[in-house]
Amino acid sequence: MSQPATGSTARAASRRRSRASTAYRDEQRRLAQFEEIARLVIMHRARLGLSQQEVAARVGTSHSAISRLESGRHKASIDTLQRVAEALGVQLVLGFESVPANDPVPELALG
Amino acid sequence: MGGFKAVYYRDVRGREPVNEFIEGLDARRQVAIDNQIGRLNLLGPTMPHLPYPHSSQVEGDLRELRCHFGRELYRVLYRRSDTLFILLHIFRKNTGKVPSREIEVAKGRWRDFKVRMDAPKRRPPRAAGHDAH
Repeated sequence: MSQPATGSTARAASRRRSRASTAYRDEQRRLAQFEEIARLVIMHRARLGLSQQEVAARVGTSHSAISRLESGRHKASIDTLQRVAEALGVQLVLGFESVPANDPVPELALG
Repeated sequence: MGGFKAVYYRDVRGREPVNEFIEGLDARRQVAIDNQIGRLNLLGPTMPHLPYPHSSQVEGDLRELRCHFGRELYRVLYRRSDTLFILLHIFRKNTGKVPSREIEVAKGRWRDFKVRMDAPKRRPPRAAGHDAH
């Protein structure tokens, strides 16, 4: 019997790695909030068909600041996020949310 | 969200080369690459590509997903098949353009993928039950 040409989904493989390794889980958890914001910025930028440089110009910041934001690996200040949101024609929404006990690695809302 | 989904190419022996490459890395690199690959799942018919610099065209419909970890660069070569992104090949990139031998690996796997996907489904052999007598 030959194997199907499509293998596991990338998401399933990531979940497997997360279950199997604490180090993976910790890193995933550490980056989750940055990754979430990065995805939002990328999606809105793509929707508008803007380059990172164009967004940077609209925000009045450097290209590397936008690049860092989209890397999903770095902190961003609320002030920066607010200005980026504005440049992308959207509004920054903040909130507090209670977290269920024994929360596993939070699933990214996007993706 | 989206509607497209990233899946690993699987060869005839059942191996998933991109997945195996990632398995061989340490956890932090794995998360960096898995997160970037996960971004493909945001896409759909109205937004079929991740914008530059996250992805770019390599040749024809073959695209590269650009991942980095510090100064280390990784490239995932992939192509879309209907609603699936088929992750064909991954390698660590040193400088300049994507080497043509890496492109050839991805193209070879894509050809294999197409042949196996397009092959007419063979009927499972009939069970040698009542009919066999």
